[in-house]
Amino acid sequence: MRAFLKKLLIILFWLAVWQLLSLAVHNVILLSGPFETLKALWALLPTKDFWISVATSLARILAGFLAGSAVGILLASLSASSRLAEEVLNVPVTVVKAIPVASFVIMVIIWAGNVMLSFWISLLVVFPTAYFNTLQGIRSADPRMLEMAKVYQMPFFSKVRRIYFPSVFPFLRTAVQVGVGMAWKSGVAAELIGQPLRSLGNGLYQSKIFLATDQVLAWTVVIVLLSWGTEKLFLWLFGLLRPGRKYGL
Amino acid sequence: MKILALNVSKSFGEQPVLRDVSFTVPEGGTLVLTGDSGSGKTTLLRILLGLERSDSGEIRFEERAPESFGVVFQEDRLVETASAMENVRMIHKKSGRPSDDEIRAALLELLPEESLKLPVSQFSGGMKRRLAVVRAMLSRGEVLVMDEPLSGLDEENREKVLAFIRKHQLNRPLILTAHDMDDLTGYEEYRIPVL
Repeated sequence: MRAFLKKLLIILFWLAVWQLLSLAVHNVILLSGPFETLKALWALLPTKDFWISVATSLARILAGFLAGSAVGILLASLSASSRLAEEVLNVPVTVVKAIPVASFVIMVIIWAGNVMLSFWISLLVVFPTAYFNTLQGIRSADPRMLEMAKVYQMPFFSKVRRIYFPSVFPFLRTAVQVGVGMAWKSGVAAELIGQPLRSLGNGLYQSKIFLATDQVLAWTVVIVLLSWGTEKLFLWLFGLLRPGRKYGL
Repeated sequence: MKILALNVSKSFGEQPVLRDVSFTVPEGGTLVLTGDSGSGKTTLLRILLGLERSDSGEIRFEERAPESFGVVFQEDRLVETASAMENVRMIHKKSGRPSDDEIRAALLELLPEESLKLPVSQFSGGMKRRLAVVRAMLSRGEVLVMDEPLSGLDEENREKVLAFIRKHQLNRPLILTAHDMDDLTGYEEYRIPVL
């Protein structure tokens, strides 16, 4: 309870700083305060378009995150099984990791149009992190336990579940934590550039055109809350898979 | 199945560890490898398991090479986040796995009943050792290899473990290591000299 109160007070402190800054600037186009932002958000809430934008962006970005994670995990498993596969795969994964999001956005628009843009961008941004973290986790599996599995001819799925997964788990948890935020940031940025209708990025863009800074900040608050909420949700869901959880470990 | 070690030698760099080690373990027989720390007992077991290569000589299995081993490693090598029952189950394919009742009965021969509800991370060192022995004995390993299975056990548990091993050996050859023969009278000994 005390920790919660402390957190609440810290948030209130920063909201007060924001309000004071907006009062000092005294120009709602340059910087709207928390009250104007809340008012703009309140006005958005009853509109159908707002909820459609939230739902479509949420579905696309999270689907991209999940697909990117799955591709990363699969390719990392392939790389871990053979040095040659790792050398071959490391090249495209490293290239994908280094390519700026803006370049990807343009290429995806050319190849696939803008409707599923945030899905593809989230996937491409998340997958190298999932790949490298999974590979590192597999490589850090205890060699003594692997030796045990070898002499006992342990079944493949037991080996994956009991030896590899516990070693990959902390690395994947970090990938989830970092990946969800990255998926949201890149996904919304892509929507802002590509302008798919009824999306969070499109909402931000429309607000910018009309210099409605309070609305820009209202959309931003929504995106931050969605990113924070989905990160917590995924971490909780992932925590259900924690080795030894049923024994309270 | 009979095991023959023929002039096995092994060095690590300039350091010789084993020189011309030769012994025979008859079918269903037991051999205790003794020797001081650093005499190469563990290295010899690792060569037997195919985890190390000897520099010269060989270990031969008469009739045919075993498909798998039942092993107690020097460290227990148990999955700490799983229960005793799960540790025994996980090494088996579904087909040919002992039933849960069989595993439970075997575990209860060496472990207290309340421990079966706990993860291995909450076991004492002695309990982990006993579990490692149960896992090896219930495995389908055709050859049993145990690196100091009695270490860290009190006298009562040493006797229990030896009785358990005798009961579940089932005509499989067994090679185990020990510092001395104090608890192992009646078994054949091969003493490895320190080089």
